[in-house]
Amino acid sequence: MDRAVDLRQVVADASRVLKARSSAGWDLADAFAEAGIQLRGRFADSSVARWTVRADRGYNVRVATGAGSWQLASSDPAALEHMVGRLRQASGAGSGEHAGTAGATGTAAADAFDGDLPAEALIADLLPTLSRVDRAAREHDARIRQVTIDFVVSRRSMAWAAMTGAPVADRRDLVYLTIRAVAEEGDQVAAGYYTPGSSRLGALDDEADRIGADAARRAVTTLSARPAPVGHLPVVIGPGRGTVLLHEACCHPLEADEVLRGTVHGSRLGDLIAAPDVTIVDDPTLGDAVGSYAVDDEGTPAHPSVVVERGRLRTLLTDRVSALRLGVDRTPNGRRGTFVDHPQSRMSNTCLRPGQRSAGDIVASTPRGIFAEHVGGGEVVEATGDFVFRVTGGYLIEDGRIGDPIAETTIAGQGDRVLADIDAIGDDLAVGAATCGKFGQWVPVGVAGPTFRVRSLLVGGTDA
Amino acid sequence: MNEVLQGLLGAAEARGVVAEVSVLRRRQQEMRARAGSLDTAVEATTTSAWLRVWANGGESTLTVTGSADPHQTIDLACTLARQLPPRSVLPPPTGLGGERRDHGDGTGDPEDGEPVERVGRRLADLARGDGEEVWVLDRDDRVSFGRTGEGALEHRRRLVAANVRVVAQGARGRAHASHGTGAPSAAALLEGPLPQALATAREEVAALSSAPPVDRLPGTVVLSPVVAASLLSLAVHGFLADAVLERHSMLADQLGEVVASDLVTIVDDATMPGAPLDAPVDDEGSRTVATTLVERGRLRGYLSDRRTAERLPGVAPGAGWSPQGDTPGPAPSNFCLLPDAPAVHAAGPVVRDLALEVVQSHGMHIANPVTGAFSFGGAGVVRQGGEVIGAVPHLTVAGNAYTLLRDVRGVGDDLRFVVSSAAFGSPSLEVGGLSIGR
Repeated sequence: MDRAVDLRQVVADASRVLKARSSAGWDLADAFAEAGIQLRGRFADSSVARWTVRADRGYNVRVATGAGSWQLASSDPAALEHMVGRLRQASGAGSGEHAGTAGATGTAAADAFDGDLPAEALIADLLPTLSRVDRAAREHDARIRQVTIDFVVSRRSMAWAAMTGAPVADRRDLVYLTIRAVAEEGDQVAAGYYTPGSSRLGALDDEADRIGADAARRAVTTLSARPAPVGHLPVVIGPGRGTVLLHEACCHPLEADEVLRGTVHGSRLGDLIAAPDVTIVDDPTLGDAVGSYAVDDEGTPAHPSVVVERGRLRTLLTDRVSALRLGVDRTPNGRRGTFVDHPQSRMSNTCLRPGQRSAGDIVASTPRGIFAEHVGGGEVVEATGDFVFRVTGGYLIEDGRIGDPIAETTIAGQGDRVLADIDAIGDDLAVGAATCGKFGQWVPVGVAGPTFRVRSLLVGGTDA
Repeated sequence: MNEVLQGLLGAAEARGVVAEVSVLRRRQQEMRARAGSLDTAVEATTTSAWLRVWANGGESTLTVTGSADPHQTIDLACTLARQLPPRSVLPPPTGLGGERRDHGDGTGDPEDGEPVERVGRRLADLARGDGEEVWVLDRDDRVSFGRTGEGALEHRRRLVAANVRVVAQGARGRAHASHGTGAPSAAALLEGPLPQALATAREEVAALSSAPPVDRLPGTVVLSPVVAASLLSLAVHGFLADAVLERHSMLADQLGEVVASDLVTIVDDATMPGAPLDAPVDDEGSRTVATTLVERGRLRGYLSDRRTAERLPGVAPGAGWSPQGDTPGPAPSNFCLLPDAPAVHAAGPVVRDLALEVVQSHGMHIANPVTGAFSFGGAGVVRQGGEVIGAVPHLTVAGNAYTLLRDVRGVGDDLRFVVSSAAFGSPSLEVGGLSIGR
C-alpha cells in the first residue's frame, strides 16, 4: 500500500469537512495525518538487549483565530467529523449548522503496519551496523569494559492540507544512535558518548568502524582527564556538533513562537547581532542531515533560510500561526513531534558558513583556553539569552597547543554577547546530529559548521 | 474485556504462544495560557496497544497506535522474536494475581473531564501578568492488561505536568524564572502546586532583577527544592537494575553500604500521597511497591522490572516503566528524597545565617548519567537570616551527583516535585563539595 496516497486522501477528506463547517473567524484551518514505523531499543553486551517495533497512525485538525489555536487529535479516523464539530465549539464558533455535506470522511482505517517498509527490513538494515560499531569500540582499547548503543530507526510519512488547495505529503527516514562506551582503569571510571545520525537508512554502515573507535577513544581519553578550569576563557569549538552553541544561543531565541513570548533577539531584525564574518543558515535541504525534509509539518516547502548574514539578523524561523501573528514571512519551520502535538517553530539543520582559517591556525593563535572537541547537548533561556552547553570531550589549550584532556564540563554564556564574540571561523565543515526538545516535543535536528572560537565564555569546571 | 485486548490475546492463543497485551486509552489535554488569555489548546484521544510475545525461543515487543489486524500483529511478533537472543518466558505479573483484579477506576473509556475551555480560563486567570505563562499537560490513561490464560486487569493512571514561566524587567536588568511541577489531577494542580510554583517564580524574578550583585559568595550553599530535585534525577541511573547488571551503575555491588549522608533517605513510590504520579500497576502489569532505595545513607535497593528481578537476588519487580511506549525497563516513578522528619531545622526550607541559594538550573539534562558528573548553568540569591540580600544571575555549578549525596549537610521539610521523564521530589538541601563559577 502506498502510505502517502492513503494519507493524502485522509487529509483531503478532513479539509473538505473543515471547509464545509468553517467559520468567518478562522484565520487558519488545516488537517494533518501521519503514519510511521519505528524500531527502538538497546544493544549491550554485543547483542540486542531489548527492542520494540512501533507502528503509529493518527490524525489532527486545527483552527486558529486571533484569540488562540485549538487542535484535536485522534488515532481513529472515524472521529474526524466529530473533531471538527468540537473545534467549532472550542473556538467560539458554536456547534454550527452544516454548510453542506462534506461527503464521507474517514477513509477506512488502514492497518498501522501496512506500508512501504516492513519492520523486518529496518532490523536487517541495522543489526550489522550495530555489531560493527560495538566491535570497533571494544577492540579499540582493552580498558573498554562496556559498550551500549541505544538506537532509533524509523520511517515516517505525513500529509497536510488546508481548507483550500491540494494536499502535500512527505516521507522521512531516520537512524540515530546514542553510543556509550565505558572505560575503566583501577578505580577510575569514565564514559564516552557519540550520537551519529542520518536521514538516510543505512548511511551509518560505511562509518561504523570509525564511529565505534571514536566513542571508545573519548571514554579512554577521559580516564586521564584533569578537572576542567573554572572561569572565563577563550573557547575553540570543534566542527559539526559544536554548532550546538549557535543552535542554543542564536536560533532558539529566533523561533517565532518564542519571539511572541519575548526573546533577547526578537525585536532586532536588521540589526548587527554577530561578528561580521558570521553567517548562519537554517537549511532543511541539507542532504542526509537528520533535520532534513521536503516539506515541513504544515505543508510549507523546504528551503534554506538565512538567519544571520554577515552579522546582521535577517529572518525569524516561523510556523504558520506565529508568522500570521507577527506579520512576518513564513519559513518552513513548523514541526511537530507526533500527530498528537501542535506545530511549533523549530530548527531543521543549523549551519554556520565556513571561513578562511584552518582549525590548526585557530588553536595556534589561542594563548590559553579550552578546545571543545566534542559537544553534548545544551539549553537556552530564550527570554534572556542565557545558554549552556556541555563539553563531553575537551582539552586545555596552552601556548597555542592542545594539551591535557579535561573532564566533562558545562560552558555558559549570554546570547546577546556570544555571537559578537566569535573572532575566528575555520574552513573545516562537518555535520553532526542531535535531538531537540521543546515543551515535551522531540525532533531530530542537524548541526553543521566548522571549527570556530569565542573570545570568552564561562567554563564551569571544578579546578578553581 | 476490552475488544482490542481480546482480539490480540485471542490471536496469540490461536497461534499457541504466550503473550501479554496492554491497551492504553489516553485522553490528553495540553493548554498554554499567557498574560491572561488561553493561547493554545490541544485535545487528543488515542488508543494504543503494547504487546510482548514469547515465540520461537525468543521475545519481541510491539506497540501499535491505530488499528491493526490482530493475527497479522501476532504473526509479525513471532517472526521478530526469532531474531533476538533466546529469552525465557517471564512469570505472570503480580497485578494479575490475588483477589484484586481492578486497581483504581480503570473501567470504560477515559472521561472527557473538565472541558478544556474551562480549565484554560482558570489557567489564564492564574497567569495574568505581562510576561507570565502557564503550560499544562493533563494525561488520563485507562489501561487494560491481560496475558494468555491468565485473565485481565483494569487500572487508571493520572499525571498532570505543568510549567510556569515568568519574565520581568527590574532595576538590575531582565530576569526569568521557569519551574515545573505536577499533580495527579488538574483540580489538585490548580489548588496547590501550580499557584505555589507561580508564586516562587515571581519571587525569584523580583529578586534576580532587582537585588544588588554580590562581591563575594558565601561558603554555605543551599539548593532550592526544584534544583535539588533536578539534581536527584541525575543519580537515578545508578539505582536502575539494568544499569547494575550491564555494569554501568556507580552503585553496583554496594547494597548495605554507606552511599550517602545519614540525613538522606530516598524512596520510590508510584502511589505516594501528594506526589504527581498515581499508578497502582506498572507498565508490565506488576503491582507497584514503595521501595526504600537509601535509608539514612545506606543503600537498600534497586529499581527493577520482572526481567532484572529474575537476575538480581533480593530485588522485587514493580518498577517496569515505558516512558515512550516501548519495552518497559527499570525506571523511577515518584522518586523522592524525603524531608527531614522530625524537623531538625526551622520548619520549611533549610535556613542558614548566610548562604548562597541556587534557585535555577539550566542544562541539567545533559550531565553524565553513568559517572554522575554534572556541570550546569544557573542563578542564585544570597540570603541572610532567610532574607534575600543579593542576586547572582549567572553562575555555573559543578560536582558529582553521587558525591553530593554523601555531602548533604542539612535537609529541609519543604518538599517539592518536578516532572520530566518521571516525578522527582526533594526538599531544600544544604550541600558541600560543589564548585561554583561566575
